[in-house]
Amino acid sequence: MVFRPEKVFIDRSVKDHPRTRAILDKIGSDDIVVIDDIREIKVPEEFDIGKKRLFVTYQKGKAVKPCQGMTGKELCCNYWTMDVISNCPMECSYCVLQYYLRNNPILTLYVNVDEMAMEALNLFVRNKGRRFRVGTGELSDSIALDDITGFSERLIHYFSGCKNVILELKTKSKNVSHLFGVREKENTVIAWSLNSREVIEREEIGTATLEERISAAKEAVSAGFRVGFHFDPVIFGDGWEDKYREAVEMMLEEVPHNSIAWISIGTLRFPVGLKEVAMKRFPLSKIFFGELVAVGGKFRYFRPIRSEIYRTMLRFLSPLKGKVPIYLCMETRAIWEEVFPQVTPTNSAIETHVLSTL
Amino acid sequence: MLFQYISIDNINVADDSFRMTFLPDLEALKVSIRSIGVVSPIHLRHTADGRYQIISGYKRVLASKELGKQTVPALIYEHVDISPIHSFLHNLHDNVFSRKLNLIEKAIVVSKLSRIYGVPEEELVERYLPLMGEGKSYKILHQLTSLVEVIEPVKTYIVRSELPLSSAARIAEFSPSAQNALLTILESVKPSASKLNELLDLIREISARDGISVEDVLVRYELIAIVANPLTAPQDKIRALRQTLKGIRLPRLMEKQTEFLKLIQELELPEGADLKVDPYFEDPSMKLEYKFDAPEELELLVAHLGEAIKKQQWKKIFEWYRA
Repeated sequence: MVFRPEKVFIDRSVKDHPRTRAILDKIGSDDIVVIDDIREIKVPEEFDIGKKRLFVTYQKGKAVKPCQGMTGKELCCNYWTMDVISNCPMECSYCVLQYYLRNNPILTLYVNVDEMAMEALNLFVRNKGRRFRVGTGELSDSIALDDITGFSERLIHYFSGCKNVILELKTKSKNVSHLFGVREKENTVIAWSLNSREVIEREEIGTATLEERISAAKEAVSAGFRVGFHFDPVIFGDGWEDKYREAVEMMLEEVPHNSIAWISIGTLRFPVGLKEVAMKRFPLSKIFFGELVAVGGKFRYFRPIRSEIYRTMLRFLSPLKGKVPIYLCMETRAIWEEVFPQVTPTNSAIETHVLSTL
Repeated sequence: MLFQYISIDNINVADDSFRMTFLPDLEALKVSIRSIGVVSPIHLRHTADGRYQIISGYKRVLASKELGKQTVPALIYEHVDISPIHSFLHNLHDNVFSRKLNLIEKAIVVSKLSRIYGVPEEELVERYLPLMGEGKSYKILHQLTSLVEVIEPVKTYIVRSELPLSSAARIAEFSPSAQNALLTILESVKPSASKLNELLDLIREISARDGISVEDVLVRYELIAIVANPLTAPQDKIRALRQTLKGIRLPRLMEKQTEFLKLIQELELPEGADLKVDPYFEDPSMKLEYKFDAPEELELLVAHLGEAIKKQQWKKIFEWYRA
C-alpha cells in the first residue's frame, strides 16, 4: 500500500529539517501548508479525512513509554512503546486508534526520530541490568510508511549496539524487503499481526493478505531476522476454530519454528466508546455483534468465551510448546492462572517468559 | 415598522417560513388572552403579494384564532425592510431569550438555518448552538439535524418525555416504520433515558446481527406481548424486555448465567442468604451474604451449608466455574 496524503501540513520548526525534506521528496505533494501552531489545523470531523492528511512535526513527549497494559488492571509483558508515527494508513474496523485519536486524527510523522532514539538509548544504557522490549506499532503500523520515512531502518541501526533491547517492528504489511539489507539484525524482531483469512479480508482493509504476511515473514527469516506473530484480535463466531486453525497451520508450515521469537494471542477488546464510532465507520462489520460485555470500561468477550479461545489456540500452537514463548495480551490474572498455570501471573514473570528464548 | 390591529384572516398562518414552535401549549395562553387580550404585539412581514407572514407570535395568533378573535395587535415590517433570514433570526432571538426551546424546536432551527438560509455548519456550531444553550459540537449539530426526519408521533414522544438529545438521536437512526413499531413499546414502558438507550441498542444490534428488520425483531420475539399487559407495572415490563433482549443478544452468556443460577438454587440456601458472583464470571471469587437477627437463623445457614458441602454441591459450583 502506497500512502499519498491529500494534504500536507508542516510544523514551521521542522520545515528545514533534513528528514522533512526527505519525506516531502518522497511524497511529491503540491498541497503543503506550513503552520506555526497545531491549533491552526482544523481537526477533521471525519476520522477518514484525518487519515488522508499528513502532519510533519516534532515529538515533544517522552521517546519511550510503558505500554498501556502496564498501567491497567490486566497483566502485561512489560512492553515499551515508541511513537514515531501517530495514526495509520490502514483501515481495521476494530482499530482502537479511531477512538484514541478521535480529537487528533491527522496522520503525524515525528522527524526527530534520531533524537528520540538517542533518548531511548540513554534509558537502556542507564538500566543495563534489565531488558527492554520496545515496539513502534502502538499508534501506527511500524512498517507501512517506511517508504516515505525510513524510520525502521534508522531505529534498527540505533538500537543495534544495545544488547539489552529488542526492537519489535509490528506490521500488517508485506513490504519488508527494504530492511533485508541492514547488517545489524540480532536485536530486531519483525512481527506480523495474523488473523483468519476472513477477518483480514473483511475487517483489515488495505492490509496484506494472510499468505502475503506469512510469505513476507518467511523471507524475513531467510534474510536473517527473527520474527514474531500476534494472533490478535481473535474474533469469535460460527466456525471460528477452523478459520484460525488454517491460519496457524499456514504459519507453522511456512515459517521455521526456531526463528520465531514469540507469539501472542489476544481476543477482541476495545474501549466502550469505540463501538459507536466503529459501527458508524464500518456498518457492514459484524464483529461488534459478538457476545461482548463491558468490563472496566472495555468491551470484551465474557470470560468463558475467552478461555475457550485461548485453550483452542494453544492447542493449535502445541507444536511450538517448549520452543517458542506464547503469551496473552492484556489479559486478567484469572485467565492467566487458568490458561498458563505454569507461568506466575505477574508482569515481570510474563516478561521473563516472553524473553526466555532470546 | 407600523403598529396596527390586523385581521387574523389576512395573516398567512400556513406560511411557516420563520416558525420554530413545536407542540405549543396554548391553554395557558388562551386563559391570558381571554382575560386581558394579547399583551405584546406580534411581528409580521408584509410581503410583495400583500399577505402577512408571521415573524414572531405564532402561538398568540393560534390561540386568538381558537378563541374566535378577529384581530391581533401587530408590528408590521415591509418586506424590503427585513429579509427572510433576519425575520427568522428575529423570531429565534425572541424565543431563546423568553423560554427554553425543546429538542424538536432546536432541530427545526438548525435545519432551517442550514437548508433554507444556507448558514454553514461551522457557524451553526460556533454561533447558534450556544445561543440555544447547546455546546459547540458537530456531534450535537448532527444529532439535532437527524431529529427533523423523525416521524411526527415520535417527535411528540421525544418532547413529552423530555428525552435527552442522545436518546432522541438514537431513535432517529431507525427507519420511519421501525420508529412507529418502537413507539408502541416506548409508550407502554416509559423507560428512563439510560434504559431506553440500552433497549434501543439491543434491538438495533439484534436486527443488524440477524439481518432482519426491527419490526421483525419485535414480532419474532413477541416483544409487543411483553408490554401489552395493562396489569403489569412499567418497571416489570422493562425488566422483562431487557431480560428477553439480552437473552437474544447474548445467548451464551445467558445460558451460562442460567446454568450457574441453577447450581446456586441446588444449594437450597435459607431465605435471606445471597450468593454473589461476577455476572460475566471474570472474578472467580464469590461472596455469600446473609442477614440474620437470631442465633437460630445462623445455625440454619450453617446447617444448609453443611448439607451442601456433604453433597459436594459447593465443589460442583467451583468445578463448573473452572471448567
